Amino acid sequence: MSSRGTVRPPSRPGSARRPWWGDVDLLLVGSALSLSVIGMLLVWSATASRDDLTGGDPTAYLVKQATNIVIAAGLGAVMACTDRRWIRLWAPVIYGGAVLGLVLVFVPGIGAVVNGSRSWLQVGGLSLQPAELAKLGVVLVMALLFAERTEGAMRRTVRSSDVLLALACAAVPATLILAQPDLGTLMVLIAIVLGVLAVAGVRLAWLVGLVAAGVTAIVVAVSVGLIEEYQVLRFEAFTDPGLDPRGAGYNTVQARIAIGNGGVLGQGLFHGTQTQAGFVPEQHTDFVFTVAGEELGLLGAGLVVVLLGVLVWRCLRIARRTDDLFDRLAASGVACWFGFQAFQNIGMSLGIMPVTGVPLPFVSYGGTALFASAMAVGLLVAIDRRSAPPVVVARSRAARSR
Amino acid sequence: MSAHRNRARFCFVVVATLLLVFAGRLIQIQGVDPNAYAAKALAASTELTVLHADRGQILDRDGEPLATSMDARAIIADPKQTAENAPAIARILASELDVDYFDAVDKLRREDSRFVYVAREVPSYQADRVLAKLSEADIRTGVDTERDAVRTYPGGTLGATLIGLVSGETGKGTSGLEGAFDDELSGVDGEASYGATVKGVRIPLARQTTKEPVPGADVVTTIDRDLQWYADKRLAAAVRKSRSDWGVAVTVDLQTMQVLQLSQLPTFDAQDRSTVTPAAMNNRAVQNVYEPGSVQKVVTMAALADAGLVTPTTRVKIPSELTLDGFTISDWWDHGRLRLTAAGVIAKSSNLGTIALAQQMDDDTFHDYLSKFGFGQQTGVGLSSESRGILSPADRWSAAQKATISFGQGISVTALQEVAAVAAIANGGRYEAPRLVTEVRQADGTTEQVEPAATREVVSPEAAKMVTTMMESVTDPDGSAYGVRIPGYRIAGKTGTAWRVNPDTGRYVRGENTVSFIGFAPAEKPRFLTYVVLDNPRGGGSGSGTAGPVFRDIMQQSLQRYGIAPSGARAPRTPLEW
Repeated sequence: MSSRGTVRPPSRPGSARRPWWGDVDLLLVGSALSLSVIGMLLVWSATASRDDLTGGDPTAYLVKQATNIVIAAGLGAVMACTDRRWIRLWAPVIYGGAVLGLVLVFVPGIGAVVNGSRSWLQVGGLSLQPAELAKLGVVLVMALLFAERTEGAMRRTVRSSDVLLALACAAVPATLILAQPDLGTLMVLIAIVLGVLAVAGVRLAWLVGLVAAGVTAIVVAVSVGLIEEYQVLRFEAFTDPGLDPRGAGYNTVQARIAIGNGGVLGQGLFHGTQTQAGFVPEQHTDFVFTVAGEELGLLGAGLVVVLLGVLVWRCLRIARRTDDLFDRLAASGVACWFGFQAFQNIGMSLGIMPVTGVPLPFVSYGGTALFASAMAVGLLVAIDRRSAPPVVVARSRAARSR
Repeated sequence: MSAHRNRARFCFVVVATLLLVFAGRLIQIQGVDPNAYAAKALAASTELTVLHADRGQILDRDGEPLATSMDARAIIADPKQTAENAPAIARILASELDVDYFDAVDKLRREDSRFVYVAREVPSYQADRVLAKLSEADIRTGVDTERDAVRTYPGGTLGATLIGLVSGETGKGTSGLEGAFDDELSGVDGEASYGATVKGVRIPLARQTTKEPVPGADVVTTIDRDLQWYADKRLAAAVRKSRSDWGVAVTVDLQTMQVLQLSQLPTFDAQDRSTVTPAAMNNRAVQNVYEPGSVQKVVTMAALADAGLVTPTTRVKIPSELTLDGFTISDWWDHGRLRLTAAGVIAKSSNLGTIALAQQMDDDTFHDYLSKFGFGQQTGVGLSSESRGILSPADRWSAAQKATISFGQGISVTALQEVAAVAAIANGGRYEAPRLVTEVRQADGTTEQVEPAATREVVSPEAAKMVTTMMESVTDPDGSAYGVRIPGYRIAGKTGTAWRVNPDTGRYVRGENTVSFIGFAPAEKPRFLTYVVLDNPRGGGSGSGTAGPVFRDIMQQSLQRYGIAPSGARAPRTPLEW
């Protein structure tokens, strides 16, 4: 690249032909890819000595996750190459597909119960989690809704009817997810909805009211007994993990022990005693961060945090740079999604958030989550390409807008 | 527009803040105080298991087991996991094992505990059946078994008191040889520490350090199992027939001073714990003290003979009674003035004759002889709680005490002390402490001999010989125990019928006696010594009539068992009167 730079004759800015990746946000794609590769290694390490999971083949999960990454990269690339108008068309398709999937998990023979939740679709040899796709679907459909309603009316304010409509759109998959039940994904969905609403310019009263309603709903659910006892226990264990170190607080305590065991430099990949012993439950999925903590130490875990930070930062940056409402809302929603999930996931590993099963974006094992995330990144790349026109134009527009 | 941007910026700030919080938390956990968590990591991944060392065996002199260990299992439980199903689990346990239902429920629900023994010493097949039933009922969680050795005593009652018992709770020997040699028998428990998952499953890759248990050593005793069995039965029959409070019978091999048999009553069945009573645990041969009575006269004679004051033919004039220090002392049979030889005094067991002869010796000298014979000291045979007996210092003797001690009253002994003292006479005047254990065999094959204690000359061989001659006249037709003779063998013996100190009142009670017989054979070349004591036989009893036959039968058994051919020789007739 540098050689090409020197050979290329000097030219006016903006008229230069960029390389094909020139209008791709490399930091965004790079951080996502890095997280995927690190995640793949961590998943491998977490499962290598778990014969009960791998059935004796130490590389079973390495192969599976590598396959997932390849598929995800393909899906992301397709999204990135798709024209913006086509993406607006994609939104209802993805949303509809996700809702259909969420309904299908309740169909015996297709749906499967894992860890007490009816969250899985078994299609052929594939296991899919429609709830992951629903996150992308809700982001897209809400963005589309607000964009269509405001652009068509040439208004910038959001009417309450729009808010209600958007909430209704989100409520369909949310209800289905609650029925699984999958509280973690539900929380992510709520975070996405709040984020999109906030960026869409909904009045603050709406946001405050929604949060208040949510809190009230939780309190009512707990007191009425709608929420399973184990979930209440988890929250109690969160406030005092020592309360029941072999029961509800077990995950939290073990997770922190594993991370603490890593020290600054870590025990080395495949050499974490807690990890290889399988002390931390769901370590290749929800608690994958603890593998980084124990085996890669403060440096490795810090790198994961930084990469996630970069990822969310790039999403937010794209949201800020675009003028198109759909684009901004979609980018904001994705940022909320990644950000909240990362926060929730790492937070529970570090004992500063209660334990709820949400995967760490790009890092945790799991096909559907990876596919949905990669498609989201592809979407952002597509958005960014359009909102990053030639430098000259950008400058002039920037000047005008001030 | 700006509102959107501001909100987006707000999001950005939130994300940045959260990242900082994570970084801080990571640094706190991993950087600042990693050792605390690292230590926890080690603790959480290590399951400690005690590997119980096999307890050594107690063997008889031929290597036959008197006490051995059999593999069994203990039912253990984690109350945290069993609390919920405690009644159901307890029901199965109570129906399958000798376990109390309510007791089991309590244990299965014990709070603040992750480990309880619900049942111990359960045969493996029974333990397996219990687990199978629990699995069937789907309440197996939290219940498991671990290795638990059962102490078994193949002989049952055979030498039970001597061999002793092991505590079911601690696995420690509590009495008898089990208690006295507990350190040798116990071995050293090992330890296995291995990484384990929550469910207690070992992790293949986790480090594993194991301290191998060191099995306990076998203790080889001097006991002859068959002779012990015979003597146990014989003594038990005598105690039952005479309705005695307790009885002791001891046989030693005089060549080695090894105890071949040590029978005691009351005793218990070591295989049936319900028969164990405190009285049955008492090793009376070393723990009970009693006044030996006339048996002690041979010791007095040995001292006098050694001092040159007596020979078997020494003539004594004996009054019909004697008043010493306000006490009137007489013989066990009424007689006028008698003229007996020293042999006659022993043969007829005359108290007055013994006193008359003993008056020649001063208190200190007599006390010294008694000390040299081992009175007032432990024999060191190796059993716990051995008594020293009661021998007051000479300067504290009352005016009459030398006289009473000379015929065995006013001194308290243990049976084993008496055995050792008379054995010294049988062995030509050399004292050697009796032995119960010859060898400690370590599990690695090395053996450690228990060396015999140093011997000492107490009286001269000549003096010993003279007393042996006197003792032979006891089984003379004119002696006090003619019925105790064994055809073909020369027997040296002595009867004892002591006034018994009632343990409740601390006083002699008329009609309550401790009867005994001590003797060795063959008299010309002594090989075995047997001592039989019966305490408080109802109706009085006598040394010759009650204890004598037991002595005779055990001695006869010993002589035959060890192939001591009858010599057919007759004892030299020593004049008893003049």
